[in-house]
Amino acid sequence: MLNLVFALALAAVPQQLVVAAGPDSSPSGAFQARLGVYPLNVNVAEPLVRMTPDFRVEPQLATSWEYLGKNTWRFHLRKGVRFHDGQPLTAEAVRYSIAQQVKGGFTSFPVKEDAVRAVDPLTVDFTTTEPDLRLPEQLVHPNYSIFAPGSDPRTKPVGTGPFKFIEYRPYDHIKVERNNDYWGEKPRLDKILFRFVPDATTRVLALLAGEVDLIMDLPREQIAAVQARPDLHVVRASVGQMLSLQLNAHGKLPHDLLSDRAVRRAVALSLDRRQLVHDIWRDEAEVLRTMTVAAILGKFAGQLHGFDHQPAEADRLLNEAGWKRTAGGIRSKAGRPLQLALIANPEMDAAAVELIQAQLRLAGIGTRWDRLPDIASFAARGNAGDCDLNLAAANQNDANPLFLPALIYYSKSPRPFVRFYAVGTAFDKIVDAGLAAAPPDEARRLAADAMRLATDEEAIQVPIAGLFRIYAASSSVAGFVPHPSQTNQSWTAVYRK
Amino acid sequence: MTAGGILRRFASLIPVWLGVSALAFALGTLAPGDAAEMLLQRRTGEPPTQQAVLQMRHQLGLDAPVPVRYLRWLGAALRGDLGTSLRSGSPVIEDLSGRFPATLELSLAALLLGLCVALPLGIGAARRRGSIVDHGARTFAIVGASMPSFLSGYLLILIFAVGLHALPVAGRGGLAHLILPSITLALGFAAALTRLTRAALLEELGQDYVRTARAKGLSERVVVLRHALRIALVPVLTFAATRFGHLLAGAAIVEAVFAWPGIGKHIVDSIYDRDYPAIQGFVLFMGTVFVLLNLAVDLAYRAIDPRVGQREDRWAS
Repeated sequence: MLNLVFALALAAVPQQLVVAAGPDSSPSGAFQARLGVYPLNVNVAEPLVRMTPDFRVEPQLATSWEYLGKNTWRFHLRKGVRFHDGQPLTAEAVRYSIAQQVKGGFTSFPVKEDAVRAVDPLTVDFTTTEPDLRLPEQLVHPNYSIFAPGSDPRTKPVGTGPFKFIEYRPYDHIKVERNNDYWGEKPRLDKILFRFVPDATTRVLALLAGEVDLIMDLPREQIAAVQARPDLHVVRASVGQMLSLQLNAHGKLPHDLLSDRAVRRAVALSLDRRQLVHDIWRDEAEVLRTMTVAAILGKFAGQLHGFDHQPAEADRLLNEAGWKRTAGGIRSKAGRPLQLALIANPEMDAAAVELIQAQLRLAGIGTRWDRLPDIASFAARGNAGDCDLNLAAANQNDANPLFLPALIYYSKSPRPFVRFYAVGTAFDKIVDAGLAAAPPDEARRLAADAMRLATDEEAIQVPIAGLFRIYAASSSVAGFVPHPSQTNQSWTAVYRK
Repeated sequence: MTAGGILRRFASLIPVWLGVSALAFALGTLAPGDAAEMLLQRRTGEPPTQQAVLQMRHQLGLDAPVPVRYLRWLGAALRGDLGTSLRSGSPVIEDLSGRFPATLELSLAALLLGLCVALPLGIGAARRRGSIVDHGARTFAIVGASMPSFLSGYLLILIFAVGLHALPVAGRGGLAHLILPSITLALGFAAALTRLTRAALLEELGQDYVRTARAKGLSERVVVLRHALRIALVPVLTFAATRFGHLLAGAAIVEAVFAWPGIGKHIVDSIYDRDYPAIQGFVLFMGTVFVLLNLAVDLAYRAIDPRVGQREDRWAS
C-alpha cells in the first residue's frame, strides 16, 4: 500500500532534472571523446565492469571473468541486454568498441586493436600485449564503455545504459531520457538535462535562482550560503581527489637539494596538514596519509602512516644534515641557501600553495613558487624535472590500487617525469609483484607496501589532503548518492520528490 | 575614399595577416608545453608515455622544424585552408564559423546597447555641463570603467535572476538570455564612450564655428546636433569601431560567467591545449576583422565629414 502511495506521489511530480555541470570537454572531438562518457558521465553507455563507491569491481555488462593465462582474460557477457537502437549486446559489439578505443589511443594498458576476440556470441577473450592482472580493475573506467557496432560515440552515442542520448549542443548541454528497456534497475527520472556552466559561482547562482536542480563541484566558500537556504541541501562524496607533493629526488643542479632523504623528510614533517585542511578547505577535506584514496587499499590502508606535523624533528634532521639557520630565516649549507623551486597544478587553490610556502619557511626552508598559466606549461616543467617540489592533484577513476604508484614512481613507467621520482629497485619489485598478482587483495597489500616505501620511508611522495567532491541540490532532489570518482557517477536512483 | 583607396586598404591586409600569423606562430611555439602531450592526456586522463607523445607529434606533423611548419601552414592558408584543429579534429574554419555567431550576437547587442546609452548620456552631459545629468554621466563612466565584468555580471544575475526571477542566469536561448550578458559586456564600453562623447562634444562646443553659428541665431539644438556633434562623432566612431573588435575578441570572461557558447571560451581552451592551428586561425580571423572595421570607419568618416575624403583625394592625386 505504501509503495503504491509512493509511486502515485512520484508520478505526480515531473521526473525531470536539470544538472549544472562544469565546462564542456566533449567538443574536443579530436580526442575522439565518447560523448557523455568522460569526464561527464550521463549514463548512456556502460563498461563490462563497474566500480562501487568503495572502489571495488562489480559485474556490469560482464557477469563474470577469469584469467586464462598468457595475458588473456575471459569475460562472460550478460544475456538479454540490448543497445538503445535495438541491437543485442554481443561479443562482436565488445570487440568493435574496444578496437575503436585502442585505435583512438584511449587505452591506458598495453593492447593492440585485435585485443578482443569473440569466443562465442556472449564470451570474449581480452589479450594484452604484456602481463596485466589489473585489467578488470582498469576496465571500470567509463572510457571502456561498450557502444553499438556502427554507431559514432563522438556525436550520437548508442549504448546500453539506463539513459538514452537525445541531444547535444557544444558548450551548452547534453540531454538524455529514460531507457525503459534497461536491463538493470530502472531509472526513476524521465529526463536529465546536463547544462555546461564553466563558472562555479554562476552554477551556484543558477541553483539559487531555481534554474537548475543540482550543481556539481560547489565551491567550498559558498557552502554556507547554500546551507542557509531551507530549500537547498549540500551533498558530499568521500575522497576522490588527492593533493600531494612530489619531491624531485634525482634532479640535477640546481634541483638536487632533495636528493638528501633527510631534507625530504624535513619537508614532509614541516607541513601542518590539519591547518591546511581547516584553513584552506574549511574542513571539507581530510588529511591524506596514503598516495591514493585509502578505501582502495581496504584493510591495508592502516599500514601507512604518512607524516605528522613534527617541526622539532624537521629541525633536528636539517641541523644534522648541516643546514643551519641564517639571519634571514632561510637555512644554508656551505653558502648555498635551502631554497626550493615549487610548481603547482594551475587549478590548485593559490591560498593552499601560499600556506605551504609559509609552513616551510617556518622550518627555514625557502620556496620560490613559479606560477604557471596552464596545464601544458605545468606538464612541461614537471617532465623536464625543472623544479624541486611539484604540488600535484590526482583523481582515482579506476579500481586499480597500483595506478598511481606504477604511473609516477615506478622506474619502468615510460613517462618522462619518472626519472625524477623513481623510488628504487625494491619499490619496482613490489609493483611488479602487484601487477602480476591475481587476487585483488594481494594487489592491495602490495600497493600499500609500495606506498609505504615511497611515502613513509623515502618521502618522495608526501600526501597532503584528500578533497571531498561537493554537490548542492534543491531539496526536491532525492536519491542522489555521489560517487567519489565523479566520472563513475550513477544517476539511476535520483528522483524528484 | 576612392575605389583605389579601398583596394589599397584591402592590400594592407596581407602584411597584417603575415605579421599577426608569424607572431602568433612564434609565440605559440615558444610557449612551454606540447600539443601532442595535451591531446593524449585529454584522451585518457593520465600523462602519456614518451613513445606515444613522439608518435603523436609525428602524426600531427609537429616534429618538423618550426619554419617548415609555418610555411606549410601559410601555404595552406593562402589556399583558404586554415588547417584542422588538434582539439576538435574539425577544420578550423568550421569551428570558427560554428561558434562565432554566438559571440557576434553578444557583441553586437553590447555595441548597440552601449551606443544607445553612451551617446545620449555623453551629449546630455556636454550640453548641461555641471548639471545633475553631467554628474550622473561621470559617475556612470567611473563605475562602469572600474568594475570588472565578472563582478558586474554576478551583480546583475543576483538582482535580476536570483532576486527578481525576471531573467535567466545563464545559457544561450531567446532574447531574455541575451540581456544580462550584453549589459555586462556593454558596461565598460558604454562608460568609456560616454566620457569620450562628452569630452569631444565639449571641445567642439568651444570652437569658433559654434560661436558663429550661435551668433547667427541658430537654435541650440541645431548648433549641437547638426554642427558640433557631427565633428565630435569622428573620434567617437573610431573608438566605437575599434572597441567593437575588442568586444568580439575579449568576450571570453563574460561568456564564461554566463555560460555563453561563443568563441571566447573555445579559443582560451585552444591556447591551454596548444592547439596551434586553432590559435593561428583565430588570430588571422580577428586581424581581418580589425582591418575591416578600420576600413568601415574610414568610409564612415567621409559620410560624416566630407573634408576627410577631400584631403585623402588630394594626397592620392
